[in-house]
Amino acid sequence: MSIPTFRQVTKENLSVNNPVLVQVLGICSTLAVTNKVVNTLIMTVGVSLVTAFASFTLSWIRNLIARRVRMIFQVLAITFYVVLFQLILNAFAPEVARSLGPYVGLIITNCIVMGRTETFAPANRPLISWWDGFTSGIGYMAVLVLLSLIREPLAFGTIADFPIFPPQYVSDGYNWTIAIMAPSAFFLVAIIMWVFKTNGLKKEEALKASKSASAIGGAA
Amino acid sequence: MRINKDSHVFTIFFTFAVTLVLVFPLTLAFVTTKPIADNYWRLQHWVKTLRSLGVSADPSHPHQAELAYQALKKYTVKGTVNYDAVKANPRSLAITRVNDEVINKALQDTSYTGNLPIFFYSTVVDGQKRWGGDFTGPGLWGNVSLAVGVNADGSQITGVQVLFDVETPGLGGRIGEPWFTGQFTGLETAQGVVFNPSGQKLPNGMDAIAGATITSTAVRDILNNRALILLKAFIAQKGGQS
Repeated sequence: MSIPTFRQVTKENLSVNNPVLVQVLGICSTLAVTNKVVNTLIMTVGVSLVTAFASFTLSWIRNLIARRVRMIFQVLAITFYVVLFQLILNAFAPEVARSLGPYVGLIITNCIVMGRTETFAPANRPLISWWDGFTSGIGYMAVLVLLSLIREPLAFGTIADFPIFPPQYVSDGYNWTIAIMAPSAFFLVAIIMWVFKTNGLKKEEALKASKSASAIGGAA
Repeated sequence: MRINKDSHVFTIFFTFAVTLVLVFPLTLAFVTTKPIADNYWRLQHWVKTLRSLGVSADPSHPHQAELAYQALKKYTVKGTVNYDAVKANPRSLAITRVNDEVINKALQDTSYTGNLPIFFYSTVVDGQKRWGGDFTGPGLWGNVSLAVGVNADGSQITGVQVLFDVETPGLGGRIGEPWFTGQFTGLETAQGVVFNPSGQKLPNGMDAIAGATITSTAVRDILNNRALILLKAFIAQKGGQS
């Protein structure tokens, strides 16, 4: 296996092998937190940082971890960074911490974090693993922010709490309740995935990506 | 020396070592951020308790909020509460005075869980007696803690504020928003709070949040099955005194 370059990793994670659109990982949080732009941003920043630093840590000690106990170390490292992120949020952004509720803690079980620390970090050097984790998070962020930019105006008539529709939109009940709820993200993700796979990817890249995605076994 | 990373001894030793190394910074982070989180939670508690009683309070003036909060008369409940017994006989509730240190200690213990003990408050606003308290019950994901205030004879709600919740962001999490909490002010308590039928406003009716049935029901149930029962008992016992 050739050593991946930073440029390759970036391209893989942002488009060809996008964690949400191609690998179909991290779908639970994609459905759950994308009804407000601000929540989505904080959540995805959290996922990016946690993935980056957990990958870095696990890559750093990769030669000391016995293969059959690797999951214990993955969970240890991931939990460490998630709890740290949660403590910092609770202290310095209590309003955001409260509005994200249980989802910050659930970063621990985010499949993107697990996926990168399982597949990339044990086989690569720490710095490139950090970059891989971080760009995976950015790839995830790009899709989620796009979703929230569609959902929040439909649901609340606002973008990042700035009103873009007249107040009657919500008070007279013209807003889309479905856009507040998780199923709307299902439809939107499917549409974005469809457009992305048809137009965004060249044919051979799409083929390659779907192969590697099925090898990883995409699931939420 | 080459390490045999697959040996049992090394694996066990290394797991312990890594856990220790990770636990120390976490403990440090917890100890340094806890007071900041506590301060925020305490200020929220002061401001929201005051607002539920109909006293204006501003989180950007913490000192004034603290003074106003200290001026309240505070009580708590001895032992566990049997709601059925209290409903049948309001006098059976064992209410006792409590000082600020006890409340501060309770707030420190609950800043991450919201599992507040029951505290009662009484004060006088514009010459009218006001009664209030903190009541916690189960929501969808965790505790929902409400500050509830009623007027002198307990017939009307003077305010409801959400002290703590970890409900779904954008759905149940919206119970903290002013349009939701504001609708309780002035509601009649005699028949308990009910959900408004579509397109109507009842004198004891609240609007549920679309898509957040469990959280809306949780708020209604905390009000009916805890707050209003206990506040009635509180007024029955302390209402005679000045």
